[in-house]
Amino acid sequence: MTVTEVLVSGGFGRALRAPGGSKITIIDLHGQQAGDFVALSASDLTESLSGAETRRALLSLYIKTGNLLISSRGRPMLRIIEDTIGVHDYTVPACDPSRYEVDFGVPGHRNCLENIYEALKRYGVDILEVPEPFNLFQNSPVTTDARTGVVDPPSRPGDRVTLLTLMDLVCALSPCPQDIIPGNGLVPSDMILRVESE
Amino acid sequence: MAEMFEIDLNGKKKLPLREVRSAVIPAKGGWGHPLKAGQFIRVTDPCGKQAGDFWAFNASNLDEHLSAMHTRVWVNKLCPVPGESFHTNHRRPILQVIADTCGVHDLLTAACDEHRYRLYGVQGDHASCEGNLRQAMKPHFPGRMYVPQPLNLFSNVQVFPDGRVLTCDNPSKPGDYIVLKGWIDCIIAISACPQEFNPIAGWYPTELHVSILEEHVS
Repeated sequence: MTVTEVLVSGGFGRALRAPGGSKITIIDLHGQQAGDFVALSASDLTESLSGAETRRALLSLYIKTGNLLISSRGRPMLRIIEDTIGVHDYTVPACDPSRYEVDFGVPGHRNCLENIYEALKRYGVDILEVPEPFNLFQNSPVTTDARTGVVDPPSRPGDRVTLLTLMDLVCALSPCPQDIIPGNGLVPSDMILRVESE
Repeated sequence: MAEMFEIDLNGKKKLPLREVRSAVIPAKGGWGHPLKAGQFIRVTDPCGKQAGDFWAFNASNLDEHLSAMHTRVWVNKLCPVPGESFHTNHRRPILQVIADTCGVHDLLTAACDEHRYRLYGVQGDHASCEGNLRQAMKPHFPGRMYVPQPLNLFSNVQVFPDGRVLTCDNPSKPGDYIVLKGWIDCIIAISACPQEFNPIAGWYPTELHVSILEEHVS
């Protein structure tokens, strides 16, 4: 068995290859940390993990253990095989430069879109090709009047999600750098991205 | 050797800091200094029960400053807690609260000024936070200066359910401190409040200590 593990610093991004049949584990080391996660087919980077296709398949705003996560071509890409927390988001886009510059008046702030792009560009991914993320551990409740929001995650140190890959993938993780409003306990912190393959 | 200082960030990680500058603000006196984006400022109350009136201005545009009213409406509370930020009148963050051992600060009341002491019957000169601010800002802004509402560190101004707003006993203990991180290049001004006619400074004004710190990369 081959294990590749990277410590992804809070507010930065890393990417790994994950062959078909491998396990991708994402660990929230310190708790209350959202991690924007994307996956692309290694053989055709234009096929990527798709929130829209997955919502259509699951008919749910939330994902849970056992669910198949679907690609932009409607093919099963990942299966959730372990999840210690059960609170994730796949409706909110990655934070990007305009989120900080326009909404908060902070130009130049680190952001998940550029973190993921920095991690993926050596695989040949353009910034416009960065797919919409699955925001692991992100807490985006829907309230009774159908409004949504993002609040701090309930995750505790060591909470983890493990995904079984159903095709050869390149995946990337950005522990979200948001420190102006709640979402990461106001302190971006480190996560583990691990790939185990036979 | 520079003093090292470690902060626990909401229990999530440790932040090692290295002191690059320090000063003692004498009782009833003031202090002003630039703070660069990414640097930290720690204000310590060494004797306890001492209020510190605190201002922060955008170093490249003094019309933009830490604003009590813009901050309150941003955080939806009377004062930010660790992780939250103070905001400017241009509605962007200027300083983030990194650590706070006292937890009691005021964003409701004005700085004391010469008029306040006239009302107490003081006939001659009396130090004031507004006067200390003007003095501290002279090297950075020699002209006449608008005085924003300060952040009153270690000041206990309580709001009661019946609507009263009262200056109450100062709760800070000797050694209590607050650490703030600059979002932008700032000019900071601090006054060790000279008020001895109410409990804001424990009825007996004392000194404050201030440090500028940077993240220590080992």
